[in-house]
Amino acid sequence: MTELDFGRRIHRIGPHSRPFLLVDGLSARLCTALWVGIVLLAVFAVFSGSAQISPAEALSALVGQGDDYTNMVVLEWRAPRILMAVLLGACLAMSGAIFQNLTGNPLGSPDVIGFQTGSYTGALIVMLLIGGGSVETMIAALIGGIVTAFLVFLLSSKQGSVRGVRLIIVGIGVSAMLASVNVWILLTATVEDAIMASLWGAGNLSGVSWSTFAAAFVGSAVFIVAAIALSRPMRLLQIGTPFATALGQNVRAVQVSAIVVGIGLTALATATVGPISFIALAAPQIARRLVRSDGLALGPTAAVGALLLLLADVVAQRIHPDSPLPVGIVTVSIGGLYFLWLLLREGKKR
Amino acid sequence: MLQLRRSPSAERLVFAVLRRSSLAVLVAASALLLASCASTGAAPEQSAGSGGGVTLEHPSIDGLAIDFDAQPKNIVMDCYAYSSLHEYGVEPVALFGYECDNPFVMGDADISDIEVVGTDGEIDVEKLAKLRPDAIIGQGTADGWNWFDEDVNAQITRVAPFVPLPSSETIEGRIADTREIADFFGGDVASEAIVQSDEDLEQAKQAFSDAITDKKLNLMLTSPAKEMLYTGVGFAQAELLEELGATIVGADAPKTGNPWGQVAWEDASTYPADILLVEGYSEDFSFSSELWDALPAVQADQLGAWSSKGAMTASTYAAWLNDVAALVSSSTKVS
Amino acid sequence: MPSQPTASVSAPNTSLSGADPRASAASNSSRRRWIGLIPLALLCLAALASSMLVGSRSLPPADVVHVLLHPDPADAISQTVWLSRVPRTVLVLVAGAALGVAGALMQAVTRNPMTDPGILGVNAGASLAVVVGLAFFGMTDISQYMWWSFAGAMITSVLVFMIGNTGSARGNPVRMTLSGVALGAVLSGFSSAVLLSNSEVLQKMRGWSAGTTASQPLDATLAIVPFIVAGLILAMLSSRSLDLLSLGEASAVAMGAHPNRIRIVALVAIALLAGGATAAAGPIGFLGLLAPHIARMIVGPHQGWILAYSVLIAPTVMGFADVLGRVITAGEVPVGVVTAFIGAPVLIYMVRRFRVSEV
Repeated sequence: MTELDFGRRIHRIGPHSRPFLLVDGLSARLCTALWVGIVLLAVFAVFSGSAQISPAEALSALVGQGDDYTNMVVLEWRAPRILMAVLLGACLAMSGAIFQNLTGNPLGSPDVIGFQTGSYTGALIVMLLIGGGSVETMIAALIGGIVTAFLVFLLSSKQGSVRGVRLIIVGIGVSAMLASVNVWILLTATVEDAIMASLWGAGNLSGVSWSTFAAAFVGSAVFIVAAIALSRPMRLLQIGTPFATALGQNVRAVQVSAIVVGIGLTALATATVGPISFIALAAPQIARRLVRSDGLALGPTAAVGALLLLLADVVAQRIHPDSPLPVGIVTVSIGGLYFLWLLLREGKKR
Repeated sequence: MLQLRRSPSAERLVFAVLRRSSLAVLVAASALLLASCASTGAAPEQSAGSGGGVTLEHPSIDGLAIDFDAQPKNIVMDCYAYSSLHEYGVEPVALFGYECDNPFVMGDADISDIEVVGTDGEIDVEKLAKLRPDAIIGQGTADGWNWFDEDVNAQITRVAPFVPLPSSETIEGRIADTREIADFFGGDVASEAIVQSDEDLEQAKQAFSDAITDKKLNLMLTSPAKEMLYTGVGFAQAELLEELGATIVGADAPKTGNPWGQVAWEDASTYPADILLVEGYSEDFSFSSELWDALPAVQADQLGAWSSKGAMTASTYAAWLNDVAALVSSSTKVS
Repeated sequence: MPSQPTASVSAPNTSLSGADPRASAASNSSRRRWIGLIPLALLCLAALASSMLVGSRSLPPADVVHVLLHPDPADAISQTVWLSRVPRTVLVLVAGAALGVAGALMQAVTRNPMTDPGILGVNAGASLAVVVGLAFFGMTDISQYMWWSFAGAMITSVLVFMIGNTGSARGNPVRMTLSGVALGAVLSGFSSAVLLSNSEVLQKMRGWSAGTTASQPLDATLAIVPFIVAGLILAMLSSRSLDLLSLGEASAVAMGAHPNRIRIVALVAIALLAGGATAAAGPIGFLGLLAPHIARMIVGPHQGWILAYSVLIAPTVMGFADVLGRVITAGEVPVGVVTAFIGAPVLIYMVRRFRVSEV
């Protein structure tokens, strides 16, 4: 049988002539490197922090031999927070990759299009107007995000088809409207309440516990599996709708499922910890550059997203001596850096 | 002092399993072997209310009894609590919360050597835990601080019991309840200065009462902002003044949410106020807007201070009432 | 009417029989444009008048007119009118015109109909500069922080233009819009960061950052007028060149224009206009989108006329929006919130109705 040369190392998993899976060598190495990086960063985060627990004590807590205090700090506080950052970073990045692929535009990311604004509106209504606890806020944010997405899709689909461009512009419009509602709600609250709500709205990993993590994990597991299942069809779709259809793919079904998965991932992440911006925008781009691929690279994207969010959270907790920052403030800086880099890149192209 | 929260054993088992499987990733990758099976979860339960413990029966929240294993020594407070309690000599090991740099709330207390574990709505729970506090006092409810979300409150109450500041209806009630709390935490509530401040308060009340019956002026409690004028009708401070004979004008608060009344600037002059009490008023008061400056009370410079969240002590309110009484005496009807 | 109108062009229907169709059509449409200004000016006056007459405090119109003619500093009604209604109306006129023209310029320079200073993040950049000035440099007077606003608007416009219109993204309007939106999100994120760590400044800036006509006294508004006027003049002067630019860069160069020079002048004008308006009224979005579009629907793709019509249309919309905000609830709704509510549905309608060209 002729050996196909893809231009890069490809590993075959399964029998040689009919492999189950073709794994891109560069992608595999990159993912491994990224995950090692994530684990190292996680280890650092677990062993360090304001409570100044020595590594030996932390280690003993991890193996279940620590005292109550160390267990509380390491097991109940640090561990779920780190895992949540990794999980949600991966979710947001994957959602961004899916949307950028769907809209065919590297800036067509859910946080730019504005799906997260609807979640914020839902949360604000519960936090400031109705008055409710964490669970109610999460549910309201989830509903808000999904309803917004639904509205955007409804408004941008004309005669049954949703064009990328229209989706983006309608998203911007809807999110601008909702943003003004948010501003209005914040204005009518007392300053302290407004600050408390704004801290949620900036994207905040404080207070993450095992139960929140478990809920997020279960919820996102479904979507992550679906995203992985969709990666092959979506890559196929990139060659163009007519070609994909000719090859027997049900384009509509793939597109609709991709949208549902993308929205689900973002809505879940936002409902849990608030709108965290720029991971969904930057991570897929960074991953694609690293893997030197032009298409959907879900594995590396998830890894990059997880690393970025974890890094942002580690920084957010340690950067200010008196009090921690919301992680969303740090990711905004990531967005800013991403833009600077875009500028330099465009500048060089001339 | 750590207080263990009750949690059903089934939940603990699930979390213990979860912990183990997720931690395997961390530990394995850091190249250490998780040889033995970890014991199921955390340390043995501490029996609550063991011998030698003390209990605080909260003065204003019915039925709230907070147990401590021993007399609490290390206390973390929010700055509102600090302003009320440090007069009795109750000193915290750390502060958090809003307005820690507002001289109006903090008085002339020097807090530069007190550690800060959080500003405004944020808190560093690990820093808090490191201090091993015995109690956390602040504005809030039995569930926790007013402006942390549920999850963060769950974390801080895991570290130490949270004692909410009293929220009784009247100022006198709050002063008395705050004193009870100060007493519980070892403050000196019977010193000469405190006794004197009680007398001062009675005198101040009388002085204000006299001044106001003499002059019959309208007062409005305000907090002006560029976008609108907020009024404090229905606040405990307003009720206190009303009890003493004053007429309070202003917009009522909306039914839900914000306790402040909201007045558009155009309507500001429809409330006939001879004296305006401004939240946080001081010599460097710098708010100015056209319609504010045009109010008759502002033009006559009949402005005074008040605070909706200042220190709840007799001495603070004695001083305040005296100031307001003096202002009333020197003011005339302008509205 | 051409079928399938694209979003960037909408030609007026000039069908006249007779001798030289082009000449008479041209003079007819020119005359029509002049005549069209009249009802528009009247509508604008109506909006400004309603801004004078309507507010949270209901005053009989006769009284308002009376105190306008006979100001009495001690009278409450006179104070309400002179200290609140008049400054707000002047601000509506000045900021509205500024934002409308800034939007028209932006659409011309970027050759993208879906832009305005709010969407492209210019307002966010200006307001970040103001917030930084207030928080870290203690500026309290508009005459101080308006310079920050100008600088912020200028830098952001240049950035958006460079990111969105060069290299691989050249000529792709959607790419530019997205760059602007994302950049705006970054800049407002920075604003939030500054405000969240500085609760005093947050308290002061809350109302302003929603976009409001109520926060400036009259002399503050008048302080930015010279800059707005300068911006308007620059805009008018470059209208011809912008028409050339809309034909495409190659054609423009062939006709002797210097595209980069035109762009720089236009960007300076945008910075003055958007920066000035934001300094006075806070970031207000969608006016710069709506006004030029309505103008274009009436007069066609003639930049000079679009600018002239925008100068009238934008204050009209802003005036009615502000009045609506005053009466709709007990405490007022800031005008920035109302314009978003009006403008966003229009944007959505536009994108549904017209095919947006994507290169």
